[in-house]
Amino acid sequence: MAQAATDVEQTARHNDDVMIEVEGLSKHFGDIRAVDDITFSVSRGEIFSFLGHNGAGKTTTIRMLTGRSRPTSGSARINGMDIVQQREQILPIINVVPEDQNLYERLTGRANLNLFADLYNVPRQRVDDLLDQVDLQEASARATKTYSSGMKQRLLIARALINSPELLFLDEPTRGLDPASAKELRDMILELSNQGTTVFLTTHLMEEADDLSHRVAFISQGQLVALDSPRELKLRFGERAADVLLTDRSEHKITLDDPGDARQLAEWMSAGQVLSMHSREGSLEDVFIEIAGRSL
Amino acid sequence: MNLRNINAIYRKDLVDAIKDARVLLALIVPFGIAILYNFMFEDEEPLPEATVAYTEVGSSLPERLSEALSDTVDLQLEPHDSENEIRQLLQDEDASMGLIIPKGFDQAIEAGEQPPLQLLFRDSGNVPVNTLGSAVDLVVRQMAGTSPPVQMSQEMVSPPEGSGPNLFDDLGMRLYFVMAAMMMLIGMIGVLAVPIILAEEAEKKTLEALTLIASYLDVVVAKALVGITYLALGVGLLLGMTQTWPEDPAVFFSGVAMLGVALVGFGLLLGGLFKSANQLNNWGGLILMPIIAPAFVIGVWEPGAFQYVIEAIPVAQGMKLAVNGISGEAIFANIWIAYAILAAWIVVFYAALIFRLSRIRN
Repeated sequence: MAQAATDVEQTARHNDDVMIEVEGLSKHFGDIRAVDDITFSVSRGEIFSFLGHNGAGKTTTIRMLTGRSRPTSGSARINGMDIVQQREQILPIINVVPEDQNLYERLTGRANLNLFADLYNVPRQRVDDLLDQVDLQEASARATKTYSSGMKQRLLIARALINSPELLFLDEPTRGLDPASAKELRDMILELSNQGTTVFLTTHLMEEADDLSHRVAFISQGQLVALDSPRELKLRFGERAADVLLTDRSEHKITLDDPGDARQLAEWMSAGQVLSMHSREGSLEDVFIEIAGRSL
Repeated sequence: MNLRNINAIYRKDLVDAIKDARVLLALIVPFGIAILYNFMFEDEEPLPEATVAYTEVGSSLPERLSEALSDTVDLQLEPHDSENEIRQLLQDEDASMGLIIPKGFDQAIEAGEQPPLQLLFRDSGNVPVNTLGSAVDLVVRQMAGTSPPVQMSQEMVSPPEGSGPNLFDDLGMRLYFVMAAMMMLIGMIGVLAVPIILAEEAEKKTLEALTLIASYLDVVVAKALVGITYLALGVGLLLGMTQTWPEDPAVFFSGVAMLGVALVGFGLLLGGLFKSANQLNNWGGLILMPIIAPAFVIGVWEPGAFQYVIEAIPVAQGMKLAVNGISGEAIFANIWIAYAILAAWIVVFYAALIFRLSRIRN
């Protein structure tokens, strides 16, 4: 697995402007290696997904990158700054949308944002702008305990954007959202990426990671076991074959590397016998099962 | 430590915490107790009132009588022109005693002429007849310059050395219970309200959001300031509502402040130990009881060897300073020991807190 991780590690490919550089990062709790010698980098403006089972090391990695836990060994830099030595300089340029909806429920939506506007020392006008952006202006005077789950999630996004972060960590951001709200949120993530914000995403939803991510990293038992774009991963671990359905309703499997199958396919097509053809490239979930041994 | 962060968290907590029913209850209960006792007890038992009507002939007897009885009777003097008016007042129960003083009474006494003096009493009154009669007898003897037949001395017999004060007597029931309720208020804010607001931050994971930009130290300092603000407002309100003001403000406020700082430090330690605010709310009462119990024991009950344990609890020392401060008297001796014990607890609690904070980010 470690060899696979080394093999798939690539330099960030969107541009040379690297936002996150992780080098041999480890975190041990006694004998437990929560994160074990991982190395990767993330480009500015990239949407980078971090996938793994519960306990695989995702949260520990985020905690180290956000300066809330010291690495046992290795190093990591955000925007060129060391996460341990320059933590104070890093904090203003990052933010997190956590898995839990950790809002002050007795306070209004606006008061929640005001607190963080004060902490990040940004003008209150930013609060109004964000309330407009997440469509919560009308509900802003209500206590957040009266909000729906979708509204709370939007407020969390607004809170995470209060300091206009250059790097945004999103931990299961669409969990508990209805499909329409989840779609809105995904669109917002894409928009942020287009504006230059780097997004570090953890999710259990493989389709979400597939749709959103420029690159995906799989972590298992603390080790990085795969890292590439979703398409490359699917190509690498998928089967080079296709299922062909003919007009007589017969199904055939053809292998892409077999010259005989290629000729047979050409004959069917020239005779107008092909009804449909589906690649056996596989899904990201198939890739994960192949690598990690079981699904998320 | 970042002052901007502390200020932002402090202002948030000041508003947010008071909306928490558990915190609100911790503030209201001691107030309720203090106000209840404030109305139940008077500072001192009022002196019995008695009205003495007398014939106005320029005698000093009525004034001397009032002075002689000043410690035991609240005497009202009413001059009248005639004996008939005085008799009528007694019949109408508007006076307790009548003095029919003849003209030239004082001069006649000085001349040793034994002038007549008629005392009129009504059937029933607030003050026993013999008290008034004996006082008149004493005063006229003094006016005549007659030496008393004996040399009488009076002395209050105090409890033996080391038995300590009795706050019910030394302070009065009202003040005693107001002070005890104040100690309860400080205890409930420090040991219940402050840890609840800290534990809730951890439980609801809002602490994670705060510590993304603020340090844990900022959060803890803000909570400590919130606790101290609630204490200052609570103590001020309690003094105002019970119309009580310390005779020695320096001792009173220094004692209350030191106790408050100590218990807030203890509360912040507690807040970090409990996993949830509800858990703390459920078990906090058990911790709170021994913390505030000395306020209701010290100076009232002497539990033998257990006294040393009680003396070691900060509230016992806070109560001593508050009692001395509110009364302006040295009801408790050697209050430097109280200051020393409170200072020691402050050092212990905050050293433990700093040690804990230093281990948070690992």
